Amino acid sequence: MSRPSSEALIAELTRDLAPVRRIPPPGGVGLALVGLWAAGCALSGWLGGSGLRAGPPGALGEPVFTGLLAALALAGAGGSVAAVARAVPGRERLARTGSLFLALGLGLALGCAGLAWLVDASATSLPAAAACASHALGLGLAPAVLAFAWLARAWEPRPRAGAAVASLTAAALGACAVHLRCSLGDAGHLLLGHALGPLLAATLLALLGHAWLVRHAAAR
Amino acid sequence: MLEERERRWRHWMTAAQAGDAVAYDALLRELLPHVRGLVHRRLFQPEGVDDVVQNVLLSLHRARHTYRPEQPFGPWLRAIARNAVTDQLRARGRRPLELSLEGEGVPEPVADAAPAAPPPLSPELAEALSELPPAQRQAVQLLHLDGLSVAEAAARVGISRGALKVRAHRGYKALRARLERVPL
Repeated sequence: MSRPSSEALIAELTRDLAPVRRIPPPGGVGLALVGLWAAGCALSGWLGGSGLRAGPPGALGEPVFTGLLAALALAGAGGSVAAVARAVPGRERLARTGSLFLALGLGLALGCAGLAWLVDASATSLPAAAACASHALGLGLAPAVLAFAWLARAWEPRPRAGAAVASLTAAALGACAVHLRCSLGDAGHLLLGHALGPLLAATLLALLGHAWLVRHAAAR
Repeated sequence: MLEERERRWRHWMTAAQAGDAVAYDALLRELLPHVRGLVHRRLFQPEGVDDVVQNVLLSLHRARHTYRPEQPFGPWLRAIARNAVTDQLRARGRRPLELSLEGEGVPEPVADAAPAAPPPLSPELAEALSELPPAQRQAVQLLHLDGLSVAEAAARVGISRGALKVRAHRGYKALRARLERVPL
């Protein structure tokens, strides 16, 4: 294609140019994402009773509990940064860093819970684990909706990756909240209900979210 | 000088977001050689550079709402260009060089396919098609009803492939909105 073709394209693009509504500041979106998660946790605690583990100092003294909490918090924070940054051209480095922390946090969470289960592979209640996993998904749903809406509104040239980041972030945020509240501490429950279960739920969310992103990005 | 250029591009982009076609035209024309250089450095081959440049301009146009004046313009532009080059390199791995609207959810005719018989139109689609502006209707008709390739359709109309794709894209959007009963 020669230069006149590009100039013809420019003429076409500038003809009938409509004003556009700029995206909101990404920092504000990130704060809103975390704020939604916190509000969901507070509402859930208010509706369902606090149910917090007995005393933060005691709980924080347990290596598995603390390790899993820190890993999920790292994943949630990193994923939130990644989900917001990837939708703005020029913020790739920040998005990559966030994604790295998301992956690292999830890996550490699985590793921590997995190791604990290897040491103490006692039987665990599957219904209780499923309840925690679904609760985690529920608590992560509001941030997930915001993240998907943001990706569709802004810029997401790789909807599959965007859906994965948004879903895994939601799972990590939800699992973090559940882990703080849940009083069951056996290794099997932590692995299935607080780590693996939410990740599997995130996979389903990612599939749905990808289909939604493709449709709504195309509609713009 | 670079700071002056950056300031100028930011100013024009901000004006373009508000609908200032003159500023947008000036911005795109000044960006053209810069974008061509960016693409050329990444593609390593001369063929296909102009196609990717046009894809970059199209992507910039679609993503212009994502630019915020407080952020530098250069990295924003380079990210869009990188993405278009990546799409081109991936497309090369799948099929011969061809401009693509991939990622927009718009069905794209395969260049090597034999022209298919025109699909039967539903009354609703025929009516929606008739309501399109002539240029958009013609683009949609040639590409998806007559089954021509982008190159063939552009040659028939006498415009560039990029310009044809813009018309077709606008036509698809209008058709989709009309059929979903969403106000344009």
